[in-house]
Amino acid sequence: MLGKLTQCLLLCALLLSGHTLANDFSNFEVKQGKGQFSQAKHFTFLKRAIKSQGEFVIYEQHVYWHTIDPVSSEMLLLPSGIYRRLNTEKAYQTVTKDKQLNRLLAKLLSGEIDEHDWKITAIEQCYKLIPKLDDVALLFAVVELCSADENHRRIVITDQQKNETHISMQITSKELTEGDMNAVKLTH
Amino acid sequence: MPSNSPIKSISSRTKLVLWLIQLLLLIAGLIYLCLFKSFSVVADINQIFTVEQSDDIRVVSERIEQQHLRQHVLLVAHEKRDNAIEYAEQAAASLRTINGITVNLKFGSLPQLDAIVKDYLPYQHAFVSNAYKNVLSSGSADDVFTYQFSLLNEMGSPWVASTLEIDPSLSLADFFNQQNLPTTGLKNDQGYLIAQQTNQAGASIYYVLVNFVSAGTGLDLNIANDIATKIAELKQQNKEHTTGVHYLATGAAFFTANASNSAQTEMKVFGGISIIATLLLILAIYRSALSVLCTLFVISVSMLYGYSALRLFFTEVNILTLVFAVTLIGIAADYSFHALSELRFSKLNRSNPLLSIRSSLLLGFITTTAGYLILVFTPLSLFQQIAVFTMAGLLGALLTVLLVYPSLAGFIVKKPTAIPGFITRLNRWQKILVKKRVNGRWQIALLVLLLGGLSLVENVDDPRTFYQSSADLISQQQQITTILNAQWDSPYILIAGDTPEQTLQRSEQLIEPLTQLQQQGVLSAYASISQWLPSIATQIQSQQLVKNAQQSGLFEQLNTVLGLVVGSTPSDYKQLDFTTWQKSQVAALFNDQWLQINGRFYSIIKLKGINDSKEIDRILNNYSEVVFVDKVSAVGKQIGQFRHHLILIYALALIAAMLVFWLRYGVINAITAVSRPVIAMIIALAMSALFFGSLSVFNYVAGILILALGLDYCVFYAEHGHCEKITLTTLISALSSLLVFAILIVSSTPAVSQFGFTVFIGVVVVFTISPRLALVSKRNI
Repeated sequence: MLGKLTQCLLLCALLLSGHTLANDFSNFEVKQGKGQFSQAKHFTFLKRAIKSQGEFVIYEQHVYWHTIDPVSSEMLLLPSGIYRRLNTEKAYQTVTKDKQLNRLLAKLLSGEIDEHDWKITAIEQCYKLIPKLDDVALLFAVVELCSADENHRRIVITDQQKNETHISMQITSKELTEGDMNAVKLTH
Repeated sequence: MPSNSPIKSISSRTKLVLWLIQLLLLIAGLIYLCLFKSFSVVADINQIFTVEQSDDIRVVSERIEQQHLRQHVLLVAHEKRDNAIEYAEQAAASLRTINGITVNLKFGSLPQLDAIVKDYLPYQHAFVSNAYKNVLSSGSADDVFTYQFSLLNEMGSPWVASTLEIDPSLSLADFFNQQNLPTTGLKNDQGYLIAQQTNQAGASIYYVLVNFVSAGTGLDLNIANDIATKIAELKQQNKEHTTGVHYLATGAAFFTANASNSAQTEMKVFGGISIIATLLLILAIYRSALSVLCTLFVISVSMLYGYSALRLFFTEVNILTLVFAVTLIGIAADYSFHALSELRFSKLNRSNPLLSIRSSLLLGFITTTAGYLILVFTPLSLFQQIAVFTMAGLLGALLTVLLVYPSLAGFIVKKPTAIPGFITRLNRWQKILVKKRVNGRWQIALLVLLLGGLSLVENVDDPRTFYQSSADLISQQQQITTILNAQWDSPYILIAGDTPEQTLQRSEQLIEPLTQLQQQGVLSAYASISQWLPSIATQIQSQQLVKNAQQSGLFEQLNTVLGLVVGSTPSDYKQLDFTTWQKSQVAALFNDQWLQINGRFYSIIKLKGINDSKEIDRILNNYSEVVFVDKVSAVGKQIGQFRHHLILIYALALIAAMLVFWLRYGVINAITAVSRPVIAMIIALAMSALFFGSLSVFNYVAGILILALGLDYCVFYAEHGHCEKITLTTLISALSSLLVFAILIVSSTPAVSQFGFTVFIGVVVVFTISPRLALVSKRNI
């Protein structure tokens, strides 16, 4: 009887510790930092992936996403919305002011994973995230978040049509210059 | 004094018979009106102001306003979705017991992304955003590719994946990207529309929508009260701390019921206090229960006259009119005071007891009525209603006093009574005050100074400041608009056309200026049907532009990236017409933005975050058949104009009074008489400006009443000299008026409070300075 109770307690402790481990996203969190990314979009109806690469700056869930190749374009993910600026334009244009979406995208890119937003399943070095909010589920059917080390992560976003976006992020520095800080602001 | 008028020859009994006949006629007329003429009391404060508009715009804007008035929203919230649905079912069942409203709890599915795309896909290249058009027009293949690739590369846009296969130019994806779907806060779950929010503790809260619409046009006061009562019962029955359910409700019914209850309470309390205080005053002065009953009778008859006139001249009366109507108690009672003073404190003339005050009463009635008559010609229905009610009420009071009191004279007084001692003392002080009058130059200097000060005072014409809605109702409304993501402002743009195509063409002309206004921060957002449905002409133009771009090889770089073989451009481009679009998924969300009235088509552009309505109005003035409907601003403008017209109204009233006084007392005395209420009015306005920090039209309108009451006092002093009886009568008259207006000061409605304060000060001042007119009286000579 005592043995069974001990086994039960051990099992509970194991499950609890597993649960705690599953929810530990500290490895992914980037309060501030900058680096390079590469992105590949795989549409189910296209034979080849749409590839791009560039640089990013993250500062307290404000994300500056600068695609350099094959074309130059900048994207800002701010609490107020998502903004885009092409190399031909002087000012940022609003892409969306949907706060749920940009908040979630910014949190995803800066590694702040909140259990209120996602159903989370741990798979080896990765986490499978399924959005809880219906609005977001329209965009992301499932998100896979993996981390090989502290400075490298891989995100795979699968939409409802099974198209996949593979994003690889390499953090090169956690120190930001004044120029980097300006980049995450909409004022310029 | 006129002594050979025909009324003198009429006996008291004949007068009473005449009065009874006219009363019977009045009652018969009132019964007829009750049976055959519609009449309602409305509590929507916005309806007290009418805006001058062209006929068609008025019809359309009234229809929109009526639609808005009929719509109500109840959100039933709970942490558990099933519980929220269960309580919503209960609320809907409860609301369905009210006759005259339709309750909706289950709805058709909201437009889904795939379904929206499906509606637009057959019309290839018909929908191209302005930004995309600009890039295509540049003719630069690199710029086109940069634009297209940034779309392709974008995170978080579902439109690219849903349209790319059919439209590799990405023009449709870009078109959808630019749109904002209305009511994104709600999701359809098995027919229930549910919004999901996270509370401060991080828990999900589910809000189930119950929509209810009142039948017919507008909103009936009884239905409004029924709705508000039902929701209050639900809240009482399912208390949040025990059941976890929370209700949020908004709509005209709740504001109407609240305003109605508040006005009714004030009417009862103010009316009750005024009547009791007035009657106690009579009892104290005249020491006769019959005097009290007589005055009560005069007040009741005057109310009956006022009510009959309202029913005769109006089909709809605002509840605020009834609050203002309380002032009639104080004014109508004056006639009774004059008559009672004459009967009790003078030697009784048995054949014609009121002969000596008859002309004063008539002159007083003419001056007071003239003041109110001016209000009838104002553009504001509230003032028209107050004026009609008061004038008719005063007529009733005058007729009752002149025709009924002579018959009661024998009962009211057995022998002349001595005037109370304090009146004798007051009379003495008044005489001293008259002798110590301020030098005329000083008086003029003071008036010029006050007028100069008044010209610097801020005038507030915004009708929203005239009333105060319940803070709880405003809070609920704000929460609901946030949850439903439907925070549109009340002003809107109305576009008219003879065909749907013409209306759409006129609407899409506004997209560019509106976008510019948005960029300038004049407004934060707008929603127009033409954002989702360009006119046929624009669709053809877009298709031609894309076709030319394809043929010029501008899409080659993108096709290479996508690995697509360049195909031929479609030869049979189709366009989406308005009738077909109306059946689309998106169109359902714009039902309230399209109207067809008298064979014309009207589109409405909703606006959000307006910072400068004048600038919007200025820009839109350049477009034909486009109107910026901003009722609050239009009413404010109209009130401002009316405020300026009031100066003319004051001048007319004073000229009329001058003529009457001139004919009777000569020009110098006429100037003295007219200057008394003018001084009182200016001092009252200055004091009001000091007290409230600004002035509104209600302060200025109060000025008319000060003029009317002031001239009334002046008439009595001028006619009867500085006798104690007149001191007594004007004191009681002033006190009864002051009681009414002092009570109005504590009203929860700022408009009523402002009106009450100004009249209060004015009456105090005019009572103090009007005895100067006693010097005019021949009785003092």
